[in-house]
Amino acid sequence: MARPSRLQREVGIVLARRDHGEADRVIVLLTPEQRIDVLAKGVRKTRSRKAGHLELFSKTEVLLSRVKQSWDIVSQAEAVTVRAQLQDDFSRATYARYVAELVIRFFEGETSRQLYDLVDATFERLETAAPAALLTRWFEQQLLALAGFRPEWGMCVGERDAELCREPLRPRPTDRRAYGIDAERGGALCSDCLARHRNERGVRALSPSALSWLQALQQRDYAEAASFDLPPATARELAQVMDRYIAHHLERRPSALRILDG
Amino acid sequence: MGKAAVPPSVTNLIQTFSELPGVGPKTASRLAFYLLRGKSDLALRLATALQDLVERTRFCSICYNVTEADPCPICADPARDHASVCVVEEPLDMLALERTDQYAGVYHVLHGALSPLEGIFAEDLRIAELETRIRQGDVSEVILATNPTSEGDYTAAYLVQRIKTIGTRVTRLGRGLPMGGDLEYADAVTLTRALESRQEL
Repeated sequence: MARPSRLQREVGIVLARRDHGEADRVIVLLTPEQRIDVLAKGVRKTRSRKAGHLELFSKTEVLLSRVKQSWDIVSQAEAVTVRAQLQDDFSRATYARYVAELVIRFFEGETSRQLYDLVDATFERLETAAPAALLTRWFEQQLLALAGFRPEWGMCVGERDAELCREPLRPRPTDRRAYGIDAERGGALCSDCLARHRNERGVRALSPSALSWLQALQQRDYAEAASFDLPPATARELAQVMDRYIAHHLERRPSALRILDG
Repeated sequence: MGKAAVPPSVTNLIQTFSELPGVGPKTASRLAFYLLRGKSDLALRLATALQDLVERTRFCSICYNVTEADPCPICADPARDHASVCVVEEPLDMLALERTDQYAGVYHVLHGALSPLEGIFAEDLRIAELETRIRQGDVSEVILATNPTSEGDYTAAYLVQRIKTIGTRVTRLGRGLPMGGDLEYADAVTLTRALESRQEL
């Protein structure tokens, strides 16, 4: 007896894909409600009518046939927005893979509308003129907040005499002493707490400029954050500290940006 | 019926079959028992074929295609144009191009496409070997024939970055509509690319 199936219409963003069986692909789809893996049959054949509609990062309307205790199968697919720039430009394509990887590693199953809108807007900006590295740093801050890992950049997360320090952090370019970043406690440290916690796991020095950038990236919307000039040295520092911060919480280093290392 | 009812040599074969892609435990058992019951020389021929596969094949030291002779017949053919190198993901892609009978150059097989999420990086593919080959030999054109998919395009974009610094001409296979397809079902990207690369008649 055929198992009961029902059709369901969904709009989703293709985050990742992997080959499955002879000519099928598993598509990782982010919809406004969830992150799901669906099966697209025969899409690796050139004659497939669905193939071009399920490319990475495109926003696609799919008709899913839901089978209990089995894969949801894509029975129709029609691309709403195809992100061709994220296929052709190597650097943008790399950052787009990183964005998708973070979503996949931090979220599973049910997700929120905010996440969907964030990813959609990020891909759209990434495809246009936005400076990819700055946009990616902004995205990281927003994503961590949605994932429940919102770092505290506004006040010190250090401890003194078994009490939280909570010193408000107002970094200025004239500051002589470095601040700190503490991945384990989930935020920034004042200079005194950095000195005290320096040798602990996940603690590193942070320049005043990098800290004020982290505060801005977390609190402001993208357009506002992008209106300031990000000096190259700070950009490099931010990339490094966030790479370590995220790796600490994921317990693995994201792989997508590794390709830019060498 | 306990597990002991099936002799270890059969269980072992079933186990081995089920490690193949697309073969589940049921198919594996069916294949094993077919070989057991079938004409005895089928199993022996299969065994010999498998042994030959392992013992006699290797990668061509020039193009990394699977071959019995090194260099492979294509790389060793003086009638081929060795200045034109066509880069493909898999040996099967090369066979598909050979079937067209339209390409007289040589190949380079990457053995995959970049996919950082699945842990496939440049060092896992034959990219450094391709670079060395271009730097050393008289290569005048590199034809990128990676698949027209996100992964294939990403690999091509990466290769362009690396090869352009050497200064060799790089081209990409044309992308557009497949024969026998219907315009109505074509996606926007394919149609856009077909429009971009339209030709004067």
